[in-house]
Amino acid sequence: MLEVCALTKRFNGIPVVEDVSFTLKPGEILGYVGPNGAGKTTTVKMIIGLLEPSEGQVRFQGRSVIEDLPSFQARIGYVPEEPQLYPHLSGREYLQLAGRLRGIQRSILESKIDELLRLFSLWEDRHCPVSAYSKGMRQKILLSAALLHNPDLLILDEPLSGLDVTTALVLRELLEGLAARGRMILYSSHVLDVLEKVCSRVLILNKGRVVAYDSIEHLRDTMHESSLESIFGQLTREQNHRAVAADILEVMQA
Amino acid sequence: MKWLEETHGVQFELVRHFLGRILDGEWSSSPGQWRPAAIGLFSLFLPAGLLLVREGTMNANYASKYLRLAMAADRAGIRAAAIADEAALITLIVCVTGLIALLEWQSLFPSGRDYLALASLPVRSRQIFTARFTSMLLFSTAIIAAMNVLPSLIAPIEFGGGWQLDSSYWRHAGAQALSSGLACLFVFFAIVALQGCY
Repeated sequence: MLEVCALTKRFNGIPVVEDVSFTLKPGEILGYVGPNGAGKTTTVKMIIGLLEPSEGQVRFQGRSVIEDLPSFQARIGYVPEEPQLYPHLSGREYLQLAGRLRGIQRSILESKIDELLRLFSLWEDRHCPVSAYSKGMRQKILLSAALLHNPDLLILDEPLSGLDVTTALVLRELLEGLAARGRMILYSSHVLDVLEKVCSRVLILNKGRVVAYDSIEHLRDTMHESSLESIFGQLTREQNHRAVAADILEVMQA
Repeated sequence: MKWLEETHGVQFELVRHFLGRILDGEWSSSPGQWRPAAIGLFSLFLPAGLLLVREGTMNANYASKYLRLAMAADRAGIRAAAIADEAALITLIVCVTGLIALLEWQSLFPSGRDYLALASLPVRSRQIFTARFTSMLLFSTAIIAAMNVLPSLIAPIEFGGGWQLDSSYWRHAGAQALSSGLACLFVFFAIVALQGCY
Protein backbone atom coordinates (compact mmCIF):
# COMPACT_ATOMS: atom_id res chain seq x y z
CA MET A 1 0.00 0.00 0.00
CA LEU A 2 1.16 3.53 -0.79
CA GLU A 3 0.47 6.12 1.89
CA VAL A 4 0.96 9.80 1.24
CA CYS A 5 0.83 11.63 4.56
CA ALA A 6 0.39 15.41 4.84
CA LEU A 7 2.70 16.08 1.91
CA THR A 8 3.67 19.74 1.54
CA LYS A 9 6.06 21.45 -0.83
CA ARG A 10 7.08 25.09 -0.71
CA PHE A 11 9.27 26.87 -3.23
CA ASN A 12 10.85 30.00 -1.72
CA GLY A 13 8.28 29.83 1.05
CA ILE A 14 5.35 29.73 -1.39
CA PRO A 15 3.28 26.57 -0.93
CA VAL A 16 2.72 24.62 -4.15
CA VAL A 17 1.34 21.48 -2.52
CA GLU A 18 -0.25 21.70 0.91
CA ASP A 19 -1.15 18.91 3.26
CA VAL A 20 -1.97 16.31 0.62
CA SER A 21 -2.84 12.88 2.02
CA PHE A 22 -4.18 9.76 0.37
CA THR A 23 -3.71 6.02 0.25
CA LEU A 24 -3.47 3.67 -2.69
CA LYS A 25 -4.30 0.03 -2.11
CA PRO A 26 -3.43 -3.00 -4.26
CA GLY A 27 -5.86 -3.33 -7.15
CA GLU A 28 -6.83 0.33 -7.01
CA ILE A 29 -6.55 3.03 -9.69
CA LEU A 30 -6.54 6.49 -8.14
CA GLY A 31 -7.26 9.42 -10.41
CA TYR A 32 -5.22 12.50 -9.52
CA VAL A 33 -6.73 15.56 -11.16
CA GLY A 34 -6.51 19.31 -10.94
CA PRO A 35 -6.26 22.39 -13.13
CA ASN A 36 -2.92 23.63 -14.50
CA GLY A 37 -0.56 24.56 -11.68
CA ALA A 38 -2.58 22.70 -9.05
CA GLY A 39 0.49 20.75 -7.92
CA LYS A 40 -0.12 17.34 -9.52
CA THR A 41 3.32 16.89 -11.06
CA THR A 42 5.00 18.29 -7.93
CA THR A 43 3.20 15.66 -5.84
CA VAL A 44 4.21 12.91 -8.26
CA LYS A 45 7.83 14.07 -8.18
CA MET A 46 7.80 14.00 -4.38
CA ILE A 47 6.36 10.49 -4.39
CA ILE A 48 9.02 9.06 -6.70
CA GLY A 49 11.81 10.86 -4.83
CA LEU A 50 12.73 13.48 -7.42
CA LEU A 51 11.75 16.29 -5.07
CA GLU A 52 12.17 16.40 -1.33
CA PRO A 53 8.96 17.30 0.50
CA SER A 54 9.02 20.37 2.74
CA GLU A 55 6.78 18.46 5.14
CA GLY A 56 5.06 15.10 5.29
CA GLN A 57 6.18 11.72 4.09
CA VAL A 58 5.52 8.95 1.61
CA ARG A 59 5.27 5.39 2.88
CA PHE A 60 5.27 2.24 0.78
CA GLN A 61 4.37 -1.12 2.34
CA GLY A 62 4.64 0.57 5.75
CA ARG A 63 8.15 1.99 5.28
CA SER A 64 9.19 5.54 4.50
CA VAL A 65 10.45 5.59 0.91
CA ILE A 66 13.29 7.97 1.82
CA GLU A 67 14.86 5.22 3.98
CA ASP A 68 15.67 3.18 0.88
CA LEU A 69 14.75 5.09 -2.24
CA PRO A 70 16.39 2.74 -4.80
CA SER A 71 14.43 -0.24 -3.39
CA PHE A 72 11.21 1.75 -3.72
CA GLN A 73 12.13 2.92 -7.22
CA ALA A 74 12.85 -0.69 -8.17
CA ARG A 75 9.20 -1.50 -7.50
CA ILE A 76 7.61 1.41 -9.34
CA GLY A 77 7.03 2.23 -12.95
CA TYR A 78 6.89 5.93 -13.74
CA VAL A 79 5.76 7.69 -16.89
CA PRO A 80 6.63 11.40 -16.63
CA GLU A 81 4.64 14.24 -18.12
CA GLU A 82 7.58 15.40 -20.25
CA PRO A 83 9.46 12.59 -21.99
CA GLN A 84 13.12 12.96 -20.99
CA LEU A 85 15.08 10.49 -23.05
CA TYR A 86 18.59 10.37 -24.43
CA PRO A 87 18.11 11.63 -28.01
CA HIS A 88 21.08 9.70 -29.42
CA LEU A 89 19.82 6.32 -28.17
CA SER A 90 17.36 4.27 -30.18
CA GLY A 91 14.11 3.19 -28.56
CA ARG A 92 15.50 -0.30 -28.16
CA GLU A 93 18.73 0.94 -26.58
CA TYR A 94 16.82 3.05 -24.06
CA LEU A 95 14.74 0.04 -23.05
CA GLN A 96 17.92 -2.02 -22.72
CA LEU A 97 19.40 0.65 -20.47
CA ALA A 98 16.26 0.84 -18.31
CA GLY A 99 16.02 -2.95 -18.06
CA ARG A 100 19.68 -3.41 -17.21
CA LEU A 101 19.56 -0.71 -14.53
CA ARG A 102 16.61 -2.58 -13.08
CA GLY A 103 18.75 -5.71 -12.97
CA ILE A 104 16.73 -7.74 -15.50
CA GLN A 105 18.83 -10.55 -16.96
CA ARG A 106 19.61 -10.25 -20.66
CA SER A 107 17.80 -13.38 -21.82
CA ILE A 108 14.54 -12.21 -20.23
CA LEU A 109 15.07 -8.55 -21.06
CA GLU A 110 15.68 -8.98 -24.79
CA SER A 111 12.51 -11.00 -25.36
CA LYS A 112 10.44 -8.58 -23.25
CA ILE A 113 11.76 -5.59 -25.18
CA ASP A 114 11.04 -7.22 -28.54
CA GLU A 115 7.50 -8.11 -27.49
CA LEU A 116 6.75 -4.64 -26.10
CA LEU A 117 8.17 -2.94 -29.20
CA ARG A 118 5.93 -5.09 -31.40
CA LEU A 119 2.85 -4.57 -29.22
CA PHE A 120 3.33 -0.79 -29.13
CA SER A 121 3.88 -0.74 -32.93
CA LEU A 122 7.47 0.49 -32.61
CA TRP A 123 9.17 -2.53 -34.14
CA GLU A 124 9.90 -0.87 -37.48
CA ASP A 125 11.51 2.13 -35.76
CA ARG A 126 13.33 0.25 -33.02
CA HIS A 127 16.78 1.21 -34.30
CA CYS A 128 15.97 4.87 -35.04
CA PRO A 129 17.29 7.47 -32.58
CA VAL A 130 14.75 8.79 -30.12
CA SER A 131 15.35 12.30 -31.52
CA ALA A 132 13.55 11.14 -34.68
CA TYR A 133 10.51 9.85 -32.75
CA SER A 134 7.20 11.66 -32.50
CA LYS A 135 5.86 12.60 -29.06
CA GLY A 136 3.52 9.62 -29.11
CA MET A 137 6.35 7.23 -29.96
CA ARG A 138 8.46 8.60 -27.10
CA GLN A 139 5.48 8.15 -24.80
CA LYS A 140 5.20 4.52 -25.90
CA ILE A 141 8.89 4.01 -25.09
CA LEU A 142 8.36 5.49 -21.63
CA LEU A 143 5.32 3.27 -21.08
CA SER A 144 7.31 0.21 -22.17
CA ALA A 145 10.16 1.19 -19.82
CA ALA A 146 7.69 1.58 -16.96
CA LEU A 147 6.19 -1.87 -17.60
CA LEU A 148 9.38 -3.85 -18.29
CA HIS A 149 9.93 -4.99 -14.70
CA ASN A 150 6.28 -5.72 -13.85
CA PRO A 151 6.07 -3.02 -11.15
CA ASP A 152 3.87 -3.15 -8.04
CA LEU A 153 3.07 0.55 -8.34
CA LEU A 154 2.55 2.42 -11.58
CA ILE A 155 2.66 6.23 -11.54
CA LEU A 156 1.39 7.85 -14.72
CA ASP A 157 1.61 11.59 -15.27
CA GLU A 158 -0.47 12.51 -18.32
CA PRO A 159 0.17 9.13 -19.96
CA LEU A 160 -2.13 9.79 -22.93
CA SER A 161 -0.13 12.80 -24.05
CA GLY A 162 0.57 12.36 -27.77
CA LEU A 163 -0.83 8.82 -27.95
CA ASP A 164 -3.08 7.80 -30.84
CA VAL A 165 -6.63 6.59 -30.18
CA THR A 166 -5.79 2.90 -30.54
CA THR A 167 -2.89 3.06 -28.08
CA ALA A 168 -5.01 5.10 -25.65
CA LEU A 169 -7.64 2.34 -25.75
CA VAL A 170 -4.95 -0.30 -25.26
CA LEU A 171 -3.61 1.62 -22.28
CA ARG A 172 -7.07 1.84 -20.72
CA GLU A 173 -7.56 -1.91 -21.01
CA LEU A 174 -4.04 -2.50 -19.75
CA LEU A 175 -4.63 -0.40 -16.62
CA GLU A 176 -7.80 -2.31 -15.84
CA GLY A 177 -5.90 -5.56 -16.34
CA LEU A 178 -3.08 -4.46 -14.06
CA ALA A 179 -5.51 -3.38 -11.35
CA ALA A 180 -7.26 -6.75 -11.60
CA ARG A 181 -3.84 -8.35 -10.94
CA GLY A 182 -3.41 -6.33 -7.75
CA ARG A 183 -1.19 -3.54 -9.03
CA MET A 184 -1.54 0.00 -7.62
CA ILE A 185 -1.95 2.78 -10.15
CA LEU A 186 -1.74 6.51 -9.60
CA TYR A 187 -3.14 8.18 -12.69
CA SER A 188 -2.59 11.94 -12.98
CA SER A 189 -4.36 13.47 -15.94
CA HIS A 190 -6.54 16.20 -17.42
CA VAL A 191 -8.48 13.74 -19.55
CA LEU A 192 -11.46 13.35 -17.26
CA ASP A 193 -13.58 10.99 -19.34
CA VAL A 194 -10.82 8.34 -19.31
CA LEU A 195 -10.29 8.83 -15.57
CA GLU A 196 -14.00 8.43 -15.01
CA LYS A 197 -13.94 5.08 -16.81
CA VAL A 198 -10.88 3.51 -15.21
CA CYS A 199 -10.49 5.01 -11.72
CA SER A 200 -12.06 3.56 -8.63
CA ARG A 201 -11.40 6.75 -6.66
CA VAL A 202 -10.42 10.26 -7.55
CA LEU A 203 -8.53 13.01 -5.78
CA ILE A 204 -9.16 16.55 -6.98
CA LEU A 205 -6.47 19.10 -6.27
CA ASN A 206 -6.90 22.86 -6.53
CA LYS A 207 -4.14 25.37 -5.76
CA GLY A 208 -2.15 22.67 -4.03
CA ARG A 209 -4.95 21.59 -1.70
CA VAL A 210 -7.20 18.55 -1.79
CA VAL A 211 -10.75 19.65 -2.55
CA ALA A 212 -12.24 16.19 -3.05
CA TYR A 213 -11.08 12.63 -2.38
CA ASP A 214 -13.68 9.95 -2.83
CA SER A 215 -15.12 7.37 -5.19
CA ILE A 216 -16.59 8.88 -8.35
CA GLU A 217 -20.05 7.40 -7.59
CA HIS A 218 -20.11 8.93 -4.14
CA LEU A 219 -19.00 12.31 -5.48
CA ARG A 220 -21.75 12.17 -8.11
CA ASP A 221 -24.35 11.40 -5.45
CA THR A 222 -23.26 13.99 -2.91
CA MET A 223 -22.72 16.79 -5.41
CA HIS A 224 -25.75 15.94 -7.54
CA GLU A 225 -23.69 16.03 -10.71
CA SER A 226 -23.81 13.53 -13.55
CA SER A 227 -20.17 13.50 -14.63
CA LEU A 228 -16.65 13.91 -13.29
CA GLU A 229 -16.23 16.90 -15.57
CA SER A 230 -19.10 18.78 -13.94
CA ILE A 231 -17.87 17.81 -10.45
CA PHE A 232 -14.39 19.02 -11.38
CA GLY A 233 -15.85 22.24 -12.80
CA GLN A 234 -17.85 22.92 -9.68
CA LEU A 235 -14.88 22.37 -7.39
CA THR A 236 -12.17 24.14 -9.30
CA ARG A 237 -13.72 26.63 -11.70
CA GLU A 238 -13.24 30.27 -10.86
CA GLN A 239 -14.38 31.64 -14.17
CA ASN A 240 -17.27 30.95 -16.45
CA HIS A 241 -15.64 29.13 -19.36
CA ARG A 242 -18.25 30.35 -21.85
CA ALA A 243 -17.67 33.96 -20.83
CA VAL A 244 -13.88 33.55 -21.09
CA ALA A 245 -14.19 32.03 -24.58
CA ALA A 246 -16.49 34.88 -25.65
CA ASP A 247 -13.97 37.42 -24.31
CA ILE A 248 -11.12 35.78 -26.26
CA LEU A 249 -13.18 35.92 -29.45
CA GLU A 250 -13.83 39.59 -28.81
CA VAL A 251 -10.10 40.29 -28.31
CA MET A 252 -9.27 38.42 -31.55
CA GLN A 253 -11.77 40.40 -33.56
CA ALA A 254 -10.86 43.80 -32.08
CA MET B 1 32.39 -10.91 -25.05
CA LYS B 2 29.49 -13.00 -23.77
CA TRP B 3 30.18 -11.74 -20.24
CA LEU B 4 29.92 -8.16 -21.49
CA GLU B 5 26.50 -8.78 -23.01
CA GLU B 6 25.02 -9.92 -19.69
CA THR B 7 23.36 -7.59 -17.16
CA HIS B 8 25.67 -6.52 -14.33
CA GLY B 9 25.39 -4.15 -11.36
CA VAL B 10 23.98 -0.60 -11.56
CA GLN B 11 27.44 1.01 -11.43
CA PHE B 12 28.77 -1.15 -14.24
CA GLU B 13 25.69 -0.56 -16.39
CA LEU B 14 25.91 3.19 -15.88
CA VAL B 15 29.61 3.24 -16.82
CA ARG B 16 28.81 1.15 -19.90
CA HIS B 17 26.06 3.61 -20.84
CA PHE B 18 28.15 6.75 -20.36
CA LEU B 19 31.21 5.27 -22.08
CA GLY B 20 29.08 4.26 -25.05
CA ARG B 21 27.65 7.76 -25.14
CA ILE B 22 31.11 9.37 -25.24
CA LEU B 23 32.19 7.08 -28.07
CA ASP B 24 28.92 7.56 -29.95
CA GLY B 25 28.65 11.26 -29.51
CA GLU B 26 32.18 12.53 -29.77
CA TRP B 27 34.46 10.13 -31.54
CA SER B 28 32.47 7.86 -33.80
CA SER B 29 32.39 8.21 -37.53
CA SER B 30 28.61 8.03 -37.71
CA PRO B 31 27.00 10.29 -40.35
CA GLY B 32 27.88 13.92 -39.82
CA GLN B 33 30.47 13.18 -37.15
CA TRP B 34 33.50 12.22 -39.23
CA ARG B 35 35.29 15.48 -38.44
CA PRO B 36 35.72 14.93 -34.67
CA ALA B 37 36.74 11.33 -35.40
CA ALA B 38 39.32 12.47 -37.95
CA ILE B 39 40.67 15.15 -35.61
CA GLY B 40 40.86 12.57 -32.82
CA LEU B 41 42.83 10.12 -34.95
CA PHE B 42 45.12 12.87 -36.19
CA SER B 43 45.86 14.00 -32.63
CA LEU B 44 46.68 10.42 -31.62
CA PHE B 45 49.32 10.04 -34.32
CA LEU B 46 50.69 13.57 -34.17
CA PRO B 47 53.37 12.98 -31.47
CA ALA B 48 54.62 9.78 -33.14
CA GLY B 49 54.55 11.57 -36.47
CA LEU B 50 56.94 14.18 -35.13
CA LEU B 51 59.60 11.51 -34.62
CA LEU B 52 58.86 9.59 -37.80
CA VAL B 53 58.90 12.66 -40.03
CA ARG B 54 62.34 13.61 -38.84
CA GLU B 55 63.64 10.10 -39.38
CA GLY B 56 62.42 10.18 -42.94
CA THR B 57 63.57 13.70 -43.76
CA MET B 58 65.76 14.24 -46.84
CA ASN B 59 68.18 16.40 -44.86
CA ALA B 60 70.91 13.93 -43.86
CA ASN B 61 72.25 16.16 -41.10
CA TYR B 62 68.88 16.28 -39.42
CA ALA B 63 67.85 12.65 -40.04
CA SER B 64 71.06 11.17 -38.68
CA LYS B 65 71.56 13.75 -35.94
CA TYR B 66 71.86 11.14 -33.22
CA LEU B 67 74.19 8.90 -35.21
CA ARG B 68 76.55 11.81 -35.74
CA LEU B 69 76.33 12.89 -32.11
CA ALA B 70 76.92 9.31 -30.95
CA MET B 71 80.14 9.19 -32.94
CA ALA B 72 81.47 12.28 -31.16
CA ALA B 73 83.76 11.72 -28.21
CA ASP B 74 81.77 14.06 -25.96
CA ARG B 75 78.52 12.51 -24.66
CA ALA B 76 77.19 15.85 -23.49
CA GLY B 77 76.01 16.77 -27.01
CA ILE B 78 73.83 13.69 -27.51
CA ARG B 79 72.45 14.02 -23.99
CA ALA B 80 71.49 17.67 -24.51
CA ALA B 81 69.88 16.89 -27.87
CA ALA B 82 67.94 13.95 -26.40
CA ILE B 83 66.69 16.05 -23.48
CA ALA B 84 65.60 18.83 -25.84
CA ASP B 85 63.78 16.40 -28.15
CA GLU B 86 62.28 14.56 -25.20
CA ALA B 87 60.95 17.84 -23.78
CA ALA B 88 59.52 18.79 -27.19
CA LEU B 89 57.83 15.41 -27.50
CA ILE B 90 56.28 15.50 -24.03
CA THR B 91 55.18 19.12 -24.57
CA LEU B 92 53.41 18.13 -27.77
CA ILE B 93 51.68 15.14 -26.12
CA VAL B 94 50.68 17.30 -23.18
CA CYS B 95 49.30 19.98 -25.52
CA VAL B 96 47.14 17.42 -27.30
CA THR B 97 45.93 16.15 -23.92
CA GLY B 98 45.11 19.71 -22.88
CA LEU B 99 43.08 20.16 -26.03
CA ILE B 100 41.16 16.96 -25.32
CA ALA B 101 40.55 18.11 -21.73
CA LEU B 102 39.22 21.46 -22.95
CA LEU B 103 36.88 19.76 -25.40
CA GLU B 104 35.71 17.09 -23.00
CA TRP B 105 35.65 18.65 -19.57
CA GLN B 106 31.91 19.25 -19.64
CA SER B 107 31.34 15.56 -20.28
CA LEU B 108 33.06 14.75 -17.00
CA PHE B 109 30.03 15.61 -14.95
CA PRO B 110 26.42 14.44 -15.29
CA SER B 111 24.05 16.84 -16.99
CA GLY B 112 20.47 17.68 -16.03
CA ARG B 113 19.35 15.35 -18.82
CA ASP B 114 21.16 12.44 -17.15
CA TYR B 115 19.30 12.97 -13.90
CA LEU B 116 15.94 13.43 -15.65
CA ALA B 117 16.34 10.50 -18.04
CA LEU B 118 17.33 8.22 -15.18
CA ALA B 119 14.91 9.75 -12.65
CA SER B 120 12.47 6.89 -12.48
CA LEU B 121 15.12 4.20 -12.33
CA PRO B 122 16.55 2.75 -9.11
CA VAL B 123 19.75 4.74 -9.30
CA ARG B 124 21.24 7.09 -6.71
CA SER B 125 22.54 10.52 -7.74
CA ARG B 126 26.01 9.67 -6.49
CA GLN B 127 26.02 6.51 -8.61
CA ILE B 128 25.29 8.63 -11.69
CA PHE B 129 28.09 11.03 -10.76
CA THR B 130 30.59 8.25 -10.04
CA ALA B 131 29.75 6.41 -13.26
CA ARG B 132 30.06 9.56 -15.35
CA PHE B 133 33.40 10.41 -13.82
CA THR B 134 34.69 6.83 -14.13
CA SER B 135 33.68 6.59 -17.77
CA MET B 136 35.42 9.87 -18.57
CA LEU B 137 38.51 8.76 -16.68
CA LEU B 138 38.59 5.48 -18.62
CA PHE B 139 38.10 7.31 -21.88
CA SER B 140 40.86 9.84 -21.14
CA THR B 141 43.25 7.14 -19.97
CA ALA B 142 42.61 5.16 -23.14
CA ILE B 143 43.26 8.23 -25.29
CA ILE B 144 46.44 9.08 -23.37
CA ALA B 145 47.65 5.49 -23.57
CA ALA B 146 46.95 5.32 -27.30
CA MET B 147 48.72 8.62 -27.84
CA ASN B 148 51.80 7.41 -25.94
CA VAL B 149 52.20 3.94 -27.44
CA LEU B 150 54.05 4.87 -30.63
CA PRO B 151 56.25 7.65 -29.15
CA SER B 152 57.25 5.33 -26.30
CA LEU B 153 58.31 2.66 -28.77
CA ILE B 154 60.11 5.02 -31.15
CA ALA B 155 61.81 7.30 -28.62
CA PRO B 156 64.27 4.69 -27.23
CA ILE B 157 65.44 3.93 -30.77
CA GLU B 158 65.70 7.60 -31.62
CA PHE B 159 67.36 8.85 -28.46
CA GLY B 160 69.13 5.65 -27.41
CA GLY B 161 72.84 5.85 -27.04
CA GLY B 162 75.82 5.04 -24.97
CA TRP B 163 75.28 8.03 -22.70
CA GLN B 164 72.40 6.33 -20.89
CA LEU B 165 72.91 4.79 -17.47
CA ASP B 166 70.61 1.90 -18.40
CA SER B 167 70.47 1.30 -22.11
CA SER B 168 67.82 -1.46 -22.02
CA TYR B 169 65.25 -0.71 -24.75
CA TRP B 170 62.21 -1.86 -22.75
CA ARG B 171 63.22 0.04 -19.62
CA HIS B 172 63.65 3.18 -21.66
CA ALA B 173 60.30 2.60 -23.39
CA GLY B 174 58.57 2.00 -20.03
CA ALA B 175 60.10 5.11 -18.49
CA GLN B 176 59.07 7.15 -21.52
CA ALA B 177 55.48 5.81 -21.38
CA LEU B 178 55.21 6.36 -17.63
CA SER B 179 56.62 9.87 -17.57
CA SER B 180 54.63 11.21 -20.52
CA GLY B 181 51.49 9.35 -19.41
CA LEU B 182 51.65 10.87 -15.93
CA ALA B 183 52.39 14.30 -17.41
CA CYS B 184 49.28 13.94 -19.58
CA LEU B 185 47.10 12.93 -16.61
CA PHE B 186 48.47 15.85 -14.59
CA VAL B 187 47.66 18.34 -17.36
CA PHE B 188 44.24 16.77 -17.98
CA PHE B 189 43.15 17.09 -14.36
CA ALA B 190 44.82 20.48 -13.91
CA ILE B 191 42.73 21.88 -16.77
CA VAL B 192 39.57 20.22 -15.44
CA ALA B 193 40.27 21.69 -12.00
CA LEU B 194 40.86 25.16 -13.47
CA GLN B 195 37.63 24.93 -15.49
CA GLY B 196 35.81 23.80 -12.37
CA CYS B 197 36.89 26.99 -10.57
CA TYR B 198 34.66 29.05 -12.85
